[in-house]
Amino acid sequence: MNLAQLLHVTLRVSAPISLAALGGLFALRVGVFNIAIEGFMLMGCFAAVVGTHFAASPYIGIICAMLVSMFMTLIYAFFVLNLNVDPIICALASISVSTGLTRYLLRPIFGTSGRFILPSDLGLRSLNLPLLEKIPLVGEVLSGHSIIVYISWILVVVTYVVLYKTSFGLSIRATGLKPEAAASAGIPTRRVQYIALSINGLLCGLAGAELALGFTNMFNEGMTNGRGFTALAALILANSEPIATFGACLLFGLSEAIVIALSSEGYAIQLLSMLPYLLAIIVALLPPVASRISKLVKATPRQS
Amino acid sequence: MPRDLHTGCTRRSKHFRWLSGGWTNLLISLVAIIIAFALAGVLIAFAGEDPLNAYRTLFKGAFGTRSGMRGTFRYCLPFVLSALSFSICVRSGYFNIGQDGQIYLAALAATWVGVAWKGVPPTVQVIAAVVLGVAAGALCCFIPAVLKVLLGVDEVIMALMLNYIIGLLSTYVLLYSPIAEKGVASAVSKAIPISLPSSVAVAMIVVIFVVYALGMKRTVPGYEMCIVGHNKRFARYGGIPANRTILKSALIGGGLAGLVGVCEVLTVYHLYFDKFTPGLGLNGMAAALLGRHNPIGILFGSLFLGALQSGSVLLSVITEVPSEVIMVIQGLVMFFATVRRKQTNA
Repeated sequence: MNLAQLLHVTLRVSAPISLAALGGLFALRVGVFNIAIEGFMLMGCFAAVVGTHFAASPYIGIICAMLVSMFMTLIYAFFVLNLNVDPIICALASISVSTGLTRYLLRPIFGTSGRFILPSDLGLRSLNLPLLEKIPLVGEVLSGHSIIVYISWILVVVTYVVLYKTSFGLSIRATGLKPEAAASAGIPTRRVQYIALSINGLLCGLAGAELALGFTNMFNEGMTNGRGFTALAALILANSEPIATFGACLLFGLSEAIVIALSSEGYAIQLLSMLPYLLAIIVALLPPVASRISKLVKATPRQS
Repeated sequence: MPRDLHTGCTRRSKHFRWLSGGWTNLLISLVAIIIAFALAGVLIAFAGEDPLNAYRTLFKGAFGTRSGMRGTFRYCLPFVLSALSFSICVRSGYFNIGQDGQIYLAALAATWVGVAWKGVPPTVQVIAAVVLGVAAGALCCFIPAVLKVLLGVDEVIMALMLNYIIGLLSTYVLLYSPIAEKGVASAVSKAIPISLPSSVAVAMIVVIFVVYALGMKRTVPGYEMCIVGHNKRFARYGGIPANRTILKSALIGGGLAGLVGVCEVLTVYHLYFDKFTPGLGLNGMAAALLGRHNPIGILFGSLFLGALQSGSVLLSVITEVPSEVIMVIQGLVMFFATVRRKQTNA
């Protein structure tokens, strides 16, 4: 695998992570630390495959994935916001239900267990960008992805604009920072939270659709494999800023691409696969360590 | 981020006095179970089976036969331990969801002692396996706790990542290390020659349960954990070393999860195969939530989930219902078990 291919794979595999991270960002910005995105993504994967299979069109699959994932998120939101269940407990319950449900439904819907592979002509086609693909290296890296990958890049910018340039974004940020203050300023905080969490669901569904239809064309039980959690680690590292989050997700994508590249050369896959998770731990440790160090640095001159 | 974790010590909180009685908690847990069964019934009907018939089979599988009863009992015990592991950490405000990793690491340590140590008296070997396994579980729970206390790192992400890493590590060890059984397709260890008698294992669990039940109510450390979990700053003001209490409960919680892993490989399977019991941690957590962290409640919660686990075997044999339906039921129970009307300002 040469460099261009490695970067190409990086962009491809970071798309689901970055979509999930953007989803998590909306939830985090209204004050819900949503580790359930792992489960929503998995439901998205499954719904995408089901939709594609029955409608014979991957685009219907994508829509199914987004709707199902949003539905799950709304249930999650109802339990967290209205029934006051702890977000983490609720998230673990969501993940448990999603894992169980997707494994369970494989049997009645497809008559298989474990995995379901779509016929190859039903997958998302990779699109070539008209002008870019002519440029040597750049075209090879940027062009030839599925449509969701391009959408994910656009959505990073859209998220940034929505969050910082619109009044709705201001409502979101206000609700997350201080719900009481936001409410007294006339912001319908509950509604803002619901909308933000629905966006979270839509984005996670898109992430799941990319995971299932973008390259592998199948559903595999537990196929999200912790990507939702790494997306959250990226969010923590980037302090839930959209652009920086995208950068952090590229980092995870790169680590995943390196794993793919090296595993074809006969290294033990188990040890290699630890890389993204180790990276997530390091990444989650960085901000607190950095703040601790900066405090120490600030404190030293005063002591001397 | 403020978290209200139902520490079990919030009984006297004025915010939900309407919910203070044990009977109300029992009612909520029962309703949670009924709703979960009703929703899962829809799924079963979707698979083309009669839900009532399926539940009858489930019940028969769990309690109807001798082997079913034994299965229920067999699953109930590790669930109790794993629920206690979750509960004791939650009490002091530390959210331990790394049980799966702790269990696997402990099982790995116990397997290593059992297979690789040669020429040691068996009794010594068993004791060493238990001690090392428990220590491995405790260590695995201790790392995120230290990071939380020192740096304020979120323990949830840490524990989840550790779970994945330990899962991959144990697959690797079971495939390539000296303790791996060579020449088979799956990742599995060599047979472990030593064994922890089930009577000893059960006795240990009973003792731990009684110590926990009494210790949480009647001893100073139990009280300290409660106060720290309830309000860390108040605990410090009252002279309780809050961080040390959190670390202490993390060590105990991890050790309990470790004991689960040790018992699984030394008492039940006598070898370590990859991903031997997925969902032990989640089931324990669900049991703790169903039982509202009350020892007796935990016992019944574990019994319920153990019965599900045990009954699912017969369910998948007799009917066309995939046994994964119990995973859905367990998840749904977790959803509904902690529903409340009014939020407390934790």
